[in-house]
Amino acid sequence: MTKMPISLTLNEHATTLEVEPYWTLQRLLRDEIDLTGTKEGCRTGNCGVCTVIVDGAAVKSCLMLAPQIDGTNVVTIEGLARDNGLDPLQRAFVEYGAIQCGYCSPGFIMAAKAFLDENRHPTRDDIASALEGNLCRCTGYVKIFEAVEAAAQAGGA
Amino acid sequence: MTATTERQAIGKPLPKPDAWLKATGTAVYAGDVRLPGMLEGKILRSPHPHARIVSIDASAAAAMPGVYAVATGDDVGATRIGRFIRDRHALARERVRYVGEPVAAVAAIDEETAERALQLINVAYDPLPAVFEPEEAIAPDAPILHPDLPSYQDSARSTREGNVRNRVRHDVGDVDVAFAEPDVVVHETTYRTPRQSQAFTEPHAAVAQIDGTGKVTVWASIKAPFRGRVSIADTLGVPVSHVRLIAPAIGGDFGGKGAAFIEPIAAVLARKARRPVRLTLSRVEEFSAMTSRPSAVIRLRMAVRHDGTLVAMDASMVYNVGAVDDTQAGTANSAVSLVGAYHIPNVRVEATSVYTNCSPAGHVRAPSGPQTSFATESHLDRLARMIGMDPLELRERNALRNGDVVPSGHGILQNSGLDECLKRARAWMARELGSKRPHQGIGTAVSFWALHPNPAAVDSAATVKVDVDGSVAVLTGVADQGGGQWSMVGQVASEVLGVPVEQVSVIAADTEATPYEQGTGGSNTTYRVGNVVRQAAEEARRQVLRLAAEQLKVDEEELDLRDGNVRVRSDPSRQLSVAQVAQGALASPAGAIIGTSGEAREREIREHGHERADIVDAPSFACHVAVASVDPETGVTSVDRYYTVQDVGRALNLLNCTGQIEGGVIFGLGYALTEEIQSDNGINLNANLWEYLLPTAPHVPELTVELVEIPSTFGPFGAKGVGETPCIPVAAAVANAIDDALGVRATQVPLTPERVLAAIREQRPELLENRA
Repeated sequence: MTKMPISLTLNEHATTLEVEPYWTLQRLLRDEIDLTGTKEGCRTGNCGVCTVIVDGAAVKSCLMLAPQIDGTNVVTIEGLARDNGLDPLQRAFVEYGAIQCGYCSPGFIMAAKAFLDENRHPTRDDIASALEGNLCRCTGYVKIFEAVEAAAQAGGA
Repeated sequence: MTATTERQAIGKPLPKPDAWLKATGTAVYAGDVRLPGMLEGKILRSPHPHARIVSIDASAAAAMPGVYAVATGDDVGATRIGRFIRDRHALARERVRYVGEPVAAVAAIDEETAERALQLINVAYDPLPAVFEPEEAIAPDAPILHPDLPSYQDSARSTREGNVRNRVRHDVGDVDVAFAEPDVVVHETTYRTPRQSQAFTEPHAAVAQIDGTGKVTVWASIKAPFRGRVSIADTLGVPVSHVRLIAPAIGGDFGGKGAAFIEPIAAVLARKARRPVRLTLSRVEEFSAMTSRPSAVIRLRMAVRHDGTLVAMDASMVYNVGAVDDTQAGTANSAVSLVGAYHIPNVRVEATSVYTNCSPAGHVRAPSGPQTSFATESHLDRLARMIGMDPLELRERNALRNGDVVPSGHGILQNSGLDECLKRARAWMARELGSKRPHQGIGTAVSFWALHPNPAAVDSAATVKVDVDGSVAVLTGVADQGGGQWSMVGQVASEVLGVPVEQVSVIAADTEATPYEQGTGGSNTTYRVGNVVRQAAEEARRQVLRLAAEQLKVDEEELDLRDGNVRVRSDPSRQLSVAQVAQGALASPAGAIIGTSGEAREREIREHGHERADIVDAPSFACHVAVASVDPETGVTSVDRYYTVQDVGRALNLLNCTGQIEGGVIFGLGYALTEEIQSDNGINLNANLWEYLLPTAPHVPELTVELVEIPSTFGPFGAKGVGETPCIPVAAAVANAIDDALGVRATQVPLTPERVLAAIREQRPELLENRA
């Protein structure tokens, strides 16, 4: 197949790529440009470990085709930390014990990031609803709720 | 050990060092490994539940551009592999026994090419009659899955015949006499439990590389690297020293990553292709062809006196272990775990595990625990109602106490926290639970995970090195599947050596670089591995103190070791940093400071005689309370509040401890309410995440976790196991709450709306008839 040229902002860098039209965004990120912080768990949009942020919205990268990100702003877990250190969500996930095996963590952090950017003062029910599309088998979700609440209170999300 | 109450690291809610990597996407899992020239592997799987392989023609696939290797059963050694019983080959030879069994594999330039090549492999099958239920499988004329079963190598003695994988009997007292006692109340019910998937978020992944000398290195999501390498070596027909297995970060395990399945296939492909090969499983493959908790049918009869004394238990349990059994002797521990946390003088339990043409059975968090607990803890509730006694009181009356021989006969109970857990649960209920809403009920259940440690056969070792800057490196074979094993290792070394935990690095789970370790699991890793790390660190500590004493010209007893410094107690201005001591060591006859566990362990055993295997030193007990509401019209059960109190011996890390318990409870809630692998003629139907229903964030009830800390005698700093206990009794607690709410007993897990509604129709039809 003929590859398609696309241009996007990827983790704050202007980026030009050649992509196969059938590649998913997940495939592009993980296997073509080695951004392996975005995980793969089901390829059906059910587990959420591949969540990234496209133009401010949390997106399951296994459900989006690579050519669709042409002209967008994409942030992956690798692009979340800034020069002044980790995002408050990353810090809170570590400090509140919201990470056990950690395979779901990048997806949870990206989903929570997009959510907190729009909701500064969420209730626990709001958080639970927002994260419904992300599976965690280790923590029982409680410490994830606590971490997101702490990050929201820190206000830096 | 450190006599001061202020601890360096133990007991604190410390974040895990690897969590920083995981939060930034920089932790490397097996599927993240990238090697130059790496190919993608794919597996061709059997479409038949039972068939003879007549022929395999892979010539067209092998000739395809971009295909570097095609492997079949001819490429794997004749030696069978398996976690406990060796009942399979990495790729099927001659016969397939379940839908999804690996038959051939391809390595190609990319995934799409590999997929197309699989379609070109032509396998001729001769279908054989298949059996899917244990009753069919033990019928006299049933097709036999493993004709050579009696000759298979097993890790423990087992009774094998026909399709019976194992049969275990547990016999105490005289059951028949006990049931014939006048004035006993007898109750009999049959309980059914489902196949449950581990459903870790990271599907299996392996990357295999072979060097020019034929030595293979495999990065794999396997929590028991020293066990896994044996299967790879046997499949390749090479010594284990030619296999290096590295377990990097693992994305969850829950029992499902304890044995080799795909790793030997990746290695065979890499050898044939002469290039590195990555093999990752799809979610469909995970659900349809990998291991799950075996389903069980448990017929249970018990007798109780009117005063609440349990007098007898008579039971038979049948497990469906599929075509390949990766459970430990199938039923050996489950026969006794049915007895639970209680003293019952007369017991007769027969447990049988049976091969069928279903997908393989394996370990899932607390193997055999949830099945047996559902039966026994449900049954106790019914017995309590029958004699008009509070269900918790019935449990209190019959609870095992220190000095009792635990039902397994494996030892005498000591350091029990059961009474304290029961007391705390009762106090919480009195304090927190007011009057119930309509159709709301309260259910209690007890959990018991018996650890039978044998420190003399600990199957683990550790090395601790003190570097010239005072930092510490621990070498341990233990894998971390998310449970925090590596942070535990760092904390223990930090505590013993008086070096801040940030200065301790853990080098782990690499069969070439680290000492032997049997494998993470069974809630005994902290106990076993924590102890050998403690012993190795103590050995290094002795060296530090001895060298410091020489330099400072004082007795070793005068010295205090904290925060990376050795100080003279009576004159703290006289001090040396650990870095100075370590540098000095290099110039001394002793050389670098290196502690190993072996000598210290032998000494401990000599001094304390704690090689005794006849004690249960670290029993893990918990008491659970579920508050659930049931809609009598639909049978929908929702858990409103959940409480658990667990004895953890000593919480080495509060965050990890409570995290294990919270996660375990929600794991148990999935088992209780929704999780079940459904199959038809051996084909798993809901082999995906939209039909196999896992708990998600909105399903989490208001959850309260309390800890009791009654230390073990020999665990590191008094620790006991934590991880299995919280998932065991949840289904029973919820079923008991349903009974309390509506007066109906649901006897099949998961407690789906259909099943609860069926129980209402059968046992309390008036609840439905009263409706307009």
